[in-house]
This record gives sequence, structure tokens and C-alpha cells, in this order.
Amino acid sequence: MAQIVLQHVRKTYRVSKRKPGMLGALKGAFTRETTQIRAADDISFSIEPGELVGYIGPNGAGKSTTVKMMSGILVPDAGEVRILGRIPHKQRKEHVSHIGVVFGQRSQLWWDTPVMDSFHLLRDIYRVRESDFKRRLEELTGMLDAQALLHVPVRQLSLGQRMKCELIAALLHDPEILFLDEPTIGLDAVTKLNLRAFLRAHNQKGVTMVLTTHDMDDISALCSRVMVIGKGRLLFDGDMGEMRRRYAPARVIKARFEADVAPFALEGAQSVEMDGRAVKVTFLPEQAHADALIASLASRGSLADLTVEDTDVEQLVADMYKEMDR
Amino acid sequence: MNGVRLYFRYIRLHFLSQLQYTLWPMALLATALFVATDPLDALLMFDRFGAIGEWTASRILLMYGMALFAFGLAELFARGLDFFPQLVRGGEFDRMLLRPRSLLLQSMATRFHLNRLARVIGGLALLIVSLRAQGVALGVMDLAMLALAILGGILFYVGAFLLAAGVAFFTIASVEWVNVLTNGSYQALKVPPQYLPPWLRGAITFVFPILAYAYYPASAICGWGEPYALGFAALPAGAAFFALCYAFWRFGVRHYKSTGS
Repeated sequence: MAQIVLQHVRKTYRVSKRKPGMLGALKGAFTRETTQIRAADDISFSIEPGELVGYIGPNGAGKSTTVKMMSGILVPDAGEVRILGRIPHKQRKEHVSHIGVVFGQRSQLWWDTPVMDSFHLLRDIYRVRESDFKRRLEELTGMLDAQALLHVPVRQLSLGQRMKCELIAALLHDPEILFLDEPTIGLDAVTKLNLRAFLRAHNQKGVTMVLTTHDMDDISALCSRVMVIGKGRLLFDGDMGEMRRRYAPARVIKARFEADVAPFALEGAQSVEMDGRAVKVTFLPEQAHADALIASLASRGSLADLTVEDTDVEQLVADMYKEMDR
Repeated sequence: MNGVRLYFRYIRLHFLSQLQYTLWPMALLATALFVATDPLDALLMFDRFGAIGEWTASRILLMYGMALFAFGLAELFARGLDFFPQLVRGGEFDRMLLRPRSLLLQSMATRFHLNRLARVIGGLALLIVSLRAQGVALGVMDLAMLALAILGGILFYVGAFLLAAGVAFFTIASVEWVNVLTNGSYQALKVPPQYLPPWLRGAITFVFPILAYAYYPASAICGWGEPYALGFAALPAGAAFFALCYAFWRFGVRHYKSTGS
């Protein structure tokens, strides 16, 4: 049975407009012009236990609003949100006992005391039994190699170290669902890889995860399923391969000849761009076969180097976002 | 773990956090100075003019001390509510919504400032000294009344904080006007209630029951002529005020959840 079900969820914000400057502020105190922003416009999806879903979209598309409705912070205007069979805002305490939330830009740790103090408080807040707490803490710190951090005041941790502790903090009460809002923001490459490995391992233990991010490498590395939201609407919901086929079906062969060759065209290819000895061939898999194109490339001269690539995911998403703005 | 124990776990962490900063005794001292100099105006006035009718300095200071003591305790234990606009704007309130605990408890526990102890100690000292100056022998009933009056006062002040906190859900404008109810209220007690204009006296009896937890109990205990039973009005009055403010705050929480910040 699906753990997360959204049906025709809508959420509109009123944002008050105010003219800049003194006069604008004075006027704003008496009259208010408001504009409506549709942060969620008829959004429906469901997520099964153990899925790891990437949730992407440009800034202001409505990602956070959806996450806030799923976690129970916000109440939808219309439609229904059901998480683990509960309606988040109606059964707040029950609901939040079973989910974990990590905000990459906000900490839930106590700044001035050692990390362990925060963990103890969370143990008390979530009523975690001491034996369970010890076992889980050991397991989580082991996976993240964070034992040495437990006795350091949070303010002295690096961002990467702190994010490890944030993850532990969100998982101490053994939630069935974990919401992650930009967990890798600002982290160095090594820490990102560590965190991704941790998330993947934890997901394999059966924790359902919803990940919002702007880092497409997070999505490629972790998510079997991607949802794209723009202007409050769900534009795509499927796996990465499907997204590629739909939005960026073209593939690219990059090759380099050992000697100069005369410009040429290739049958079946969309384009051939030459830059000295380097050549870039773009083609659609349904129109041409890579092996035929490579063979015909090789017949023009001997090849020093050759790769076949998908369109860059980053580029793909940027194109999708641009599409939304039209 | 029950709520009260959890609350003190929070306080313990605040305490540990503040000990990290070596300057905390200075903050305590600063508040202590502020508290100590505050009743000087009343003292100087009485020193210059003697008594006003039946009103002596010790009467005024008794009421003032009771209010200060109650306010100090409320401020000490519900400091988080005083910072509510910041909690809402900074996203801390969102985090509270994500935890399976009472929102009121979390809001109260989210800030704790040790230096506020100065007001509690100052209030208590004033209370004891001025009671002795009044020269009354306290019976068991009187002591119970005094305790209930303080409790009523705490409820009143926590209610006032809640009222201000509730407003923070609707507007980002600062809510300084609530200080009229908190800091302003015990300033009003520096004037003998008989000399207040009737409308103001009515307001601070029935709407904001300041007199209920300071004047009437003090009068009952020291025999200033008001009916003794009125001294017991403090707790119900404070509780009623608190209940109204809490309802308003809950209304604010619902509004917040439907509109976001």
C-alpha cells in the first residue's frame, strides 16, 4: 500500500505587494494589495514503501510547499494528503513520530553544546527507549563515521560534519519516511559522496525518502524516480530514463581524429559539428544506431578518442525550467 | 517522559549553553541593577511626601513586589513566548510542528535566560521586606492566598505573552504594545488603586486582572479594607485570562498552518 498519497492538492498563497520606500510603507499599513501565488495546483502522486524519489523544480516552483504539506506544517486548501494512512495536520503528533525531516539550510541541533546533548534531548522528545537509542546511535554514527563528533560543540563542526549529525538527529526515532530538503547544499565532493552512500544504504533498509535538491548528481546517483514541479504543477513523474527519452532524447558521440579530415555529413545524424580534429555528432536513438555512426566515423580516418554520452542532466533540467517560463 | 520533565531537560540544555559563555554573570548583574533601581521613583516620592492618605511606601512596594515576583517567574519559564515573532520568522516554529510534543511546551522551553532570575529574586525580596514592614502575622490561610495570588499572576503574564505571540502569526509588525500588559502592569501598581481613574481601575480589575493578583490579595492579607474573599480571585482571574489568550494563540497556530509564513 502506498505510504504517501496526494490527491488533487492545491495551495495558494497571498503575497502582499508593497511599494518600496517610506510612502509605500505608510500606504501598506492601511491598504494591502495582494497577489495570489499558486504553490500547488492540483498535485497528485503516490509513493510506495522503500522508494527514493527525487523532487526537483526551479526556486519558487512549490517544492517546499509540498514538503511542508506532507510533513504537516501546512494545511492544503483543497485535496487530500495522506501519509501512512494519516492526515498530517489532523493527527500531528502521531504523524510526526513516524517521519524525519532534514532541512539543509536549517539546523535542529543546539549550537553551543556538544552534539550528544542534542541527541539526548531528541531521545526525550520522541520518547525513544534508552536501549533503542544506544543501538541506533551506534549504528548511525558507525555508518557515517561520526563517533568522534559526538562530543564537539555544534558551532565548532564543519558544514559537512554538521550535516552528518543532522541526518543522525532526523533518524534517531527510526522514522519510516525521511524528507530531505537540499541535504547536500554547500558540501564538498567527498562529503557529498559519503552522504549519498549513507542515504542509499539507509533507503535499502526500507526507509522511504523524498529528496528535494538542485544538485542533479544527487538525483542521478540516488533516485530511481523523479518528479518535476513547475509553477505549482507536476510536470513529470517517472524514472530518469523516461525523463531523458521525453525531454532530451538526443545522444552525443564525441570523437577525435588522429589527423585532419575534410568536413562531412553523416546519414541519420541530427548534426555534425567539427572543431579542428574534434567532432561532435548528435543523433536520436530511434533514427540511427550508434554502431553504424561510429563505423562510418571510423571510415573517415583513424580515431584517437571516442565517447557516447547522454545529454547532460543539468542541461536537460535547465531546458525544462526554461520551457516552464514560456 | 512527561512534559514537565522534558521541559526541564530543555532548561538544562539552555543552562549548559549559557555556561559556555563566561560573561553570563555580567548579564545577571545588569538585570539585577535594572531591577534594583526600578522602584526608586516610588521610594523617592514617598520619602519626600510621606504617606499619601493611608498609602505608605511599604504598601506600594508589597504590590509591586508581588507583581514583580510573578512576572519574573513567568518571564523565566516562558521566555520563549517573548521571542515568538523571531521563532515564527526564523522557521523554529516549523521545527516545533515537526515534533510530537505540545506546541506550548516547546514554545516556552525554546528560550531561557538565566539573568531573568534577578527579577524573581528582586521581587521575592521586596515581597518579604514589605510584608515585614506591614507588620502582619501571616496565618496559613494568608500564605495560601499569597501563593495562589502569585500563581494567578504567573498565569496572567504567561497569558499576556501568549497574546503577543498569537499576534505574531498574523503580522510581522512588532508587538511592543503588549509591554503595556507586562512591564507596564506592575508600573501601574506603583499608584494606589484608589487614586486611579475608575475606567482604568475597572480595566485592570476585570479585563487585565492586575489588581486581582496584587491589590486584593495584599489588601486581604494586610487588612486594608477590601473584602477578604476577594483575595482569592487571583487564581480564577489569572486562569480565565490565560485561557482566553491560549485560545487566541491556538487560533493563530491554525491560521499559520493555513497560510504559512
